[in-house]
Amino acid sequence: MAERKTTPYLLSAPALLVYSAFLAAPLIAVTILSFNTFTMATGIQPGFSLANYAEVLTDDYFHRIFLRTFGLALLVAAIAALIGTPEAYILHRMAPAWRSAFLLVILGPLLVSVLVRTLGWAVLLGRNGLINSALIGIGAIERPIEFMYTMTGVVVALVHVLVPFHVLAVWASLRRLDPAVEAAGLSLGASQATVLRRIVVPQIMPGILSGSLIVFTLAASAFATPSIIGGRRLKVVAMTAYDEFLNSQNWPMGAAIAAVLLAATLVIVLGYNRWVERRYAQAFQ
Amino acid sequence: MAFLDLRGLTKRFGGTIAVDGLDLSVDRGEFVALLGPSGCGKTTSLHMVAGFVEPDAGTVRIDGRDMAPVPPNRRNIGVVFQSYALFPHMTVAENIGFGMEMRRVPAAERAVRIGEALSLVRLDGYAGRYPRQLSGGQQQRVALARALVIRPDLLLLDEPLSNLDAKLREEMRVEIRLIQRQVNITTILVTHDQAEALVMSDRVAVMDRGRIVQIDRPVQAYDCPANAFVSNFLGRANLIRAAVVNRGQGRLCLRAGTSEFEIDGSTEADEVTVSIRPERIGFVETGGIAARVKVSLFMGDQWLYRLDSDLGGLTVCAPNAGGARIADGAPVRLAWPADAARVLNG
Ligand SMILES: Nc1ncnc2c1ncn2[C@@H]1O[C@H](COP(=O)(O)OP(=O)(O)OP(=O)(O)O)[C@@H](O)[C@H]1O
Ligand SMILES: [Mg+2]
Repeated sequence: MAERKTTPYLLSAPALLVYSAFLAAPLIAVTILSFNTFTMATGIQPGFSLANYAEVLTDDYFHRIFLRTFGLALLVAAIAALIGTPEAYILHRMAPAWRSAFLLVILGPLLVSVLVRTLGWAVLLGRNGLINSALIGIGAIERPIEFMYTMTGVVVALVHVLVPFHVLAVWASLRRLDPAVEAAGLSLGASQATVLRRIVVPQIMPGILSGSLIVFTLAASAFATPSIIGGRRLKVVAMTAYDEFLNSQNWPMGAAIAAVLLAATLVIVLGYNRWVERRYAQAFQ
Repeated sequence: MAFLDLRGLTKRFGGTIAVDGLDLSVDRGEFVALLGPSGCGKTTSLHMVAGFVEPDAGTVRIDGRDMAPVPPNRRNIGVVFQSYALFPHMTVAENIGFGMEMRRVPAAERAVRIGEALSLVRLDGYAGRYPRQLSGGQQQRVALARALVIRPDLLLLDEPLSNLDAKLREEMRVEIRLIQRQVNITTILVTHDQAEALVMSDRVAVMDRGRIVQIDRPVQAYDCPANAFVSNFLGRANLIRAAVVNRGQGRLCLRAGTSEFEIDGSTEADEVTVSIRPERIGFVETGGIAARVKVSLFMGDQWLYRLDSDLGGLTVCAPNAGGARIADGAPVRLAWPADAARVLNG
């Protein structure tokens, strides 16, 4: 009997080993690094100091960056939800043949590197880019709109990069929906809009919420898109950590920033999950 | 004119034809059972009446009005779905109240009617539960209450009793029939349970591959099946292929194998198929047709015998009257009244 009990652990041991080697080990290394100190003169000094954390948590400069990052992530998650949820529903209502074609269209971009897609946006959004040229061409505007190095540009590009994740999450919950439930709503006298609002949306809410969570965490830790579209002026946390590592050579500080980002994201994710579970525990399990 | 009138209703899904020119008229207050094997197009027909599925051809008229331009939410039809289709995120009371909410029934009246509907389906005290906290049969009854409570013009029931245990099912059959009579609501019941169709309905419409092959009062449909499909689907039947030896005066003399027998009926053909219900065949001491018992099955209230005879394999039902069963392999003689056999068309 005792042997039986250990079997599952033994069976999952190889995967667990790989997992810890590639996830836990770097995390531990980063955490240890974040407690070291650094000066230009001496370089990295081993030891245990909370100075880096104190600086990250008290310096206004870092506050602004963290606030900007989470504000950006929140906005991107909200917009992705507003675009992605209807997108998923339309996909769900399509005839099967069209559905597979459009699913490919929606998920296709995930096969292209984030960098390539972001550079694409840079080309589109530039002063002389396609969007500005077109808007000027049709006479909608006289001078080009600044997209590059603005929050708007970063949000547009990030939403594009991340919206497929939201669509996937919502679509998964739509597939569990019994089509007869919508028909039942109609037969009881509800309009199509009421059926959507009162019957479909509440049932796919867990999907919408988990999709938003995925988009939020990915947006909060995004690096390539903000650095290409947003540039130096609109630094986000990931860029700041990168700069500390590679430009200032201040690895401990970079590690501390990364650790704070991870901790903050974890707190948000877990808090949100708890809230969702409490809110929907009654009807779904 | 009939209250509900279906003409030439047709629906294709890709290459397969699900409903093939269905005609059906149902009078106001009438209870019609749509009976047929799995996949014959019952649900699809019902969904076309309710407006969830658009027919490829044909018309649905309710009270003389063509329903084609009327969306499903304006048809005032109560539907009980095969999968119940309860709203999982709403309590039982909210589920039942939803239709009234859409009709802007005041909350106080709504509460009263929800209570009435719950006692009607014997679920008092379940108002606050969520569907996933109910058994299949309880969910089915909530679905029934939800459909009835809106006082629809037409009630469509898609196998509403399929998940109940045998005893509750029998009770609910009677219950639904009584409710239906009481509120005098025109009802179509879809089922593949022939007993359910016979017990509950004013008329039975037997469907086969997207068409109605016979529509009749239950007794008529059972006693005078139009063809072999109906006679096999409605209860058990012995189908016997026989040659016509002699005819006249509404009587036929038939021969199958070496046996000859007489039945009521007439035909032009030289060879016919006749259907004889197993409960109409009796065991006799002398005369009749020789047969041998292959196996006997005890059904509680009756014995079911499978026999070999000159006419082919036969099934005979005999009431369990307390006597000893006939041993397997025993030779017996069978006979039936002349009016027990039906000549089938085609
Ligand atoms: N949405 C659909 N797409 C494709 N084919 C369908 C669809 N709905 C039904 N069919 C086909 O149409 C035929 C009739 O289906 P329907 O659901 O009406 O049968 P049914 O008589 O209700 O069967 P059951 O007793 O099993 O519920 C079946 O062959 C089925 O495969
Ligand atoms: Mg069906």
